[in-house]
Amino acid sequence: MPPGTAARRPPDPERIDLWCAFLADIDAARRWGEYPALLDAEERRRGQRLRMSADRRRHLAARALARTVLSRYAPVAPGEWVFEPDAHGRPRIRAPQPAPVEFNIAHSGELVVLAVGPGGALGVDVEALQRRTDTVALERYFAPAECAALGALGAEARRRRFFELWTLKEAYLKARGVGLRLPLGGFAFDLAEPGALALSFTGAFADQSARWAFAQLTLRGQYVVAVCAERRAAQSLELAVHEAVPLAGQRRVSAQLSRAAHFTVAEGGPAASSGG
Amino acid sequence: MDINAIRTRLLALLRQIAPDIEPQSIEPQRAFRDQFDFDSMDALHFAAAVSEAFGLEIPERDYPSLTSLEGAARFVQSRLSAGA
Repeated sequence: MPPGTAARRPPDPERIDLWCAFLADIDAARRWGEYPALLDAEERRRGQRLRMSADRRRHLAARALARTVLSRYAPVAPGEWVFEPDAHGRPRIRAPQPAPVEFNIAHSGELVVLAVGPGGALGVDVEALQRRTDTVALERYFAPAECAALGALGAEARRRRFFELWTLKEAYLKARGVGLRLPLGGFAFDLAEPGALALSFTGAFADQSARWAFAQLTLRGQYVVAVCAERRAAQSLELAVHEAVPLAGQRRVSAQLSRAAHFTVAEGGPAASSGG
Repeated sequence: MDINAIRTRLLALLRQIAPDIEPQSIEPQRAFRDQFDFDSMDALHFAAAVSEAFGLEIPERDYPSLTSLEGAARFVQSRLSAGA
């Protein structure tokens, strides 16, 4: 199917799609040269301002992924979406309005992830486990119960648990649309029970944990991903995971959630598909 | 503290967090995230480093002041003179 003519389908009200673009796959498909034409002038300017080629690659892949994937849900060509940054710099749909989908995007290392949902608040985050960063130095910003749980782990498990907690917190803050202005220690994830997670709030943090569904998974053994989506009433959501190379093709991939609350993996399994 | 000395110190802190950046290429007025890949984790590392280096308590509501080199320098200078 030629690029830009993929079957269009509105987002499933019970499902969040997670679209993953590995930069190595884009390299292999030799598609980079086609992406700048998809971007608007502001996106291209932003790309030009980035100093390092690695940053420019991620920026270009993220924008190309967002534009081509969003066009799978609505009759809007990839180049016709108009975005604007919210107060925290995350892109939102300005046109068309009303926005036909909700989306959120994140990247780390050589991976860009894009979560797409039917309209409720949505946040996604990804961290490369190989990221060179002093995670212990940031633990003190977490909630006391999280610090205690981290302190009981050996070095390797502790580092991994830090990234699991960080991505869950980031996904939640992105769904709330507040960035780091809410204190990271004002809410806590209990990850003690295998496969499960429980969110609680401390102090004057005004929110209800039942309002949110969470899913966490590891991709290609190297990336920890967390998705946070707003629930309607007692709704349970499904997560479908796809790998994509913008303008070249995409496929459903099998995924296993390492832990979840009110989220399951969408049935239907991997099914080959193609088109932009 | 002289604002130039603060800027120099901030650049050194930034280099610790993002070793790949070239200090001479940074535009002081422009947000870090518009010049290189400066995400939330980098921002928190930077806030922690500024807090420790200058002995300042920095609550979350002040993090937006730390998103560019010039913003951070002016923030640190005003906080230092307020505490002097």
